[in-house]
Amino acid sequence: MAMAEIGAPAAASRSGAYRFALRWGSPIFVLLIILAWQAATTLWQIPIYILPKPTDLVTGFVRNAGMLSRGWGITVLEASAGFIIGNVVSIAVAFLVTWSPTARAGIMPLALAIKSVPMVAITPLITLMVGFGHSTVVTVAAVVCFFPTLVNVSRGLKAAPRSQVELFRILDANPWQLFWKLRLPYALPYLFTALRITAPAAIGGTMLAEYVASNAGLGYLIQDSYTQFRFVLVWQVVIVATLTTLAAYLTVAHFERRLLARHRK
Amino acid sequence: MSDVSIVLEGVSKTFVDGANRVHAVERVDLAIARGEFVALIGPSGCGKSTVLRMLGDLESPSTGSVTIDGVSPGEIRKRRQIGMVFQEANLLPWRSVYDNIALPLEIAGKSAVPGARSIDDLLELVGLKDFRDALPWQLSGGMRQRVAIARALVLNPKVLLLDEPFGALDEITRNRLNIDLLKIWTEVGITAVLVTHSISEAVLMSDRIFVMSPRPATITTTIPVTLPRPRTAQMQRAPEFFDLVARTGEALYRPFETEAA
Amino acid sequence: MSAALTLAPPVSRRLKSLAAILILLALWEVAARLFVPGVNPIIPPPSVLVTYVARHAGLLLISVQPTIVAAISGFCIGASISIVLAVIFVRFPTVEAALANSVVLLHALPMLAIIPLLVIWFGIGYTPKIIIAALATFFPVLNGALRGLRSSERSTLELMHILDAHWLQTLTKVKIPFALPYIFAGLKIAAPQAVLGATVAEWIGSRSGLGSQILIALLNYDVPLLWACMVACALLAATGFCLILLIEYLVIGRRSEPLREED
Ligand SMILES: Nc1ncnc2c1ncn2[C@@H]1O[C@H](COP(=O)(O)OP(=O)(O)OP(=O)(O)O)[C@@H](O)[C@H]1O
Ligand SMILES: [Mg+2]
Repeated sequence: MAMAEIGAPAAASRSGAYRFALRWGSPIFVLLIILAWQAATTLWQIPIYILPKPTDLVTGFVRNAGMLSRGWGITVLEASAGFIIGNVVSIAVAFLVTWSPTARAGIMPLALAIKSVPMVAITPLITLMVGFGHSTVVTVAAVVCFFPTLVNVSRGLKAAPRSQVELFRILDANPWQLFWKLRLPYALPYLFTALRITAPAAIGGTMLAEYVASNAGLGYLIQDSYTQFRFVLVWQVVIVATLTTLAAYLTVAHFERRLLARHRK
Repeated sequence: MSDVSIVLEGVSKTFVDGANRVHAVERVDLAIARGEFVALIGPSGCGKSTVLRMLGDLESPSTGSVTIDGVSPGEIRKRRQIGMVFQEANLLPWRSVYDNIALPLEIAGKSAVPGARSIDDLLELVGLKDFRDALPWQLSGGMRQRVAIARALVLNPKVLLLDEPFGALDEITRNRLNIDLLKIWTEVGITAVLVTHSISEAVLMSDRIFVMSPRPATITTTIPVTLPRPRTAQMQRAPEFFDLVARTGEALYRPFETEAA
Repeated sequence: MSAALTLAPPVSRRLKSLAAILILLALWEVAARLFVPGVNPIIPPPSVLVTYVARHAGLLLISVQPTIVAAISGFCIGASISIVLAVIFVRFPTVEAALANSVVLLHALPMLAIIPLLVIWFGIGYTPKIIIAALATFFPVLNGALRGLRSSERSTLELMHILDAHWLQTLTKVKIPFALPYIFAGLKIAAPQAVLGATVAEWIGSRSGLGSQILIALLNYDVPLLWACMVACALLAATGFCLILLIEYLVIGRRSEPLREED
């Protein structure tokens, strides 16, 4: 959600300069930063522990490739597992609270209360309950995904306008038809909003949990490399984690665009 | 000083949106006298609003020229001599009726507006004296539209552009507002251009009706409205009125009838 | 009469929610006493927590203080920067087009991973926490502000054009007032995020504050302290949210017909 609005300016301003900026702005910007970074670190001979040169990072990648790819693989696996579990459970609960007012009264206040507890506070508790290791990490990732999806999907399931629902009633549609032809299409944008929030959040939650409760994955690697003063490795983890988060977000956004574009037409 | 206020010469407008080209307006010529009230009527989507928006400098013509008092709409706009009323009142929801009407004064900077009207007089004119401090949500649709008219008049503009100003209202309210609008127009003596879908509204309000064809819009017929002024609600039941309605309707529906034949 | 009728459902619903929470607390108390016995159980009963918090209120207050300072400073800095940036983006779409993807890239930076780098640059202390809290605030507010600044009705903007308004006049008289509800929506998401950011940063980049207290509790297996920190953290986040809600009410007041509460 946080990224939804950025880069979506009014259609009216599509001048040549605008299109050029949209296409090339970021590559140029990133390239300039890398060049300035390299120049500054070389020129002022900044020590590697304060700011490594981009070239150091690249050459270091080869040396640390094994460690990084192992950590990356574990983080991606844990985050995916948490993402899937958290979202599936959450969607199920969203159905439950949509159809049962009693369940709603019981579950939603609690969910909103827990949702406002920051993950930093919950992670240690989950660690105590579940124990050190992968299952804690997956649980944390799942919990991170659970609440945004619950809030969004339960809202989405009620998003169909009343007049449309009444139209279906007049047409004597059965509940199945009501769901597939009306409620689901209206709920999909909400679901995708949730997925767009939770895909990056799952990775963040996974790394957070790995930091305190695991000895594998990118989160652990941050802790390990930092405590061992391997600063080049810290930087490399930052880069790998950033690109992975970005890829997760873009993947969801891509599916959203394809699926919902068809929906709107 | 000539008596002509608004002149359009060979005005065409094509919208280009990527590979899409919409030919909205085609070679429109018209001249509107100072203080005249004219109506533009035509089928939906033909380009009436586009013509009006070119007068308000919200669009520029692709070819041809538009002048108001001999200068471009952009120049007139910079002199703040255009008043415009949209289909929705678009009042700022956080401002009272008074403050909404005061908005143009604030924009212009109070000192720089010699001809500005007093807001209290305007409130009197549009019949909203008692709602000076009300917020927009406390008003009915018709009252909101009156505020919008007062706001359009506060800088004492030379031309008043009305794009289906009462289109969203019920017929009874609309009729009353139209009669009131005519009173205001008589009082302030302003050139008014009204875009409408309603034939009887066009006949009731204007000195001349320009009937436009489906897209690309041209003016097919100009109908002078010979009814005397001041116009009253009773006139709508006079035979001349029905005659004018019939003639306008005939001009308006002719393109569709030839198509069907 | 009608006011009473329209008020009735939300009040009763709130009572129901309150009752649900009380029942859950009671169940928790009973279940914890029955099923999680022991001197230092992982899930202590609420009564034990309450007495613990009462006894250690001093310690908790001391650890909460730096977190609050960092969260509030970061929040204010992040929110100001993002609102200014949103205005620049809306005023100069080409600038937005050029920077949009880079901003998204910045958003993808994992908070946790940049804390060590900030600690290397700025040392242990307030700076890394404040930067992280500001980063956490930045995106929700930027998103809300952008959406809000684009939410003005088109005909209102056209009216401003006809009046030949300067863009600053359009900004202050139309765009910002229209954007306020959206900006506040962003601030409401951001306030708990700022608390979260500051607390995470304290794991690594600080020896004081709630975050480091949580780590200490975890390392010492001090379960009640951990729970107390969690509750404190949640309360901080909720307080931040409510503060923004209050400010929103004071700033925006009532613009539309008072809504009857639904849902
Ligand atoms: N900015 C624009 N870009 C592209 N096409 C436009 C634009 N504005 C208007 N058009 C097209 O120009 C044509 C005329 O539009 P216009 O709004 O002037 O019609 P209208 O006569 O006012 O219709 P209505 O009576 O329904 O208000 C329409 O086909 C419309 O789709
Ligand atoms: Mg129109």
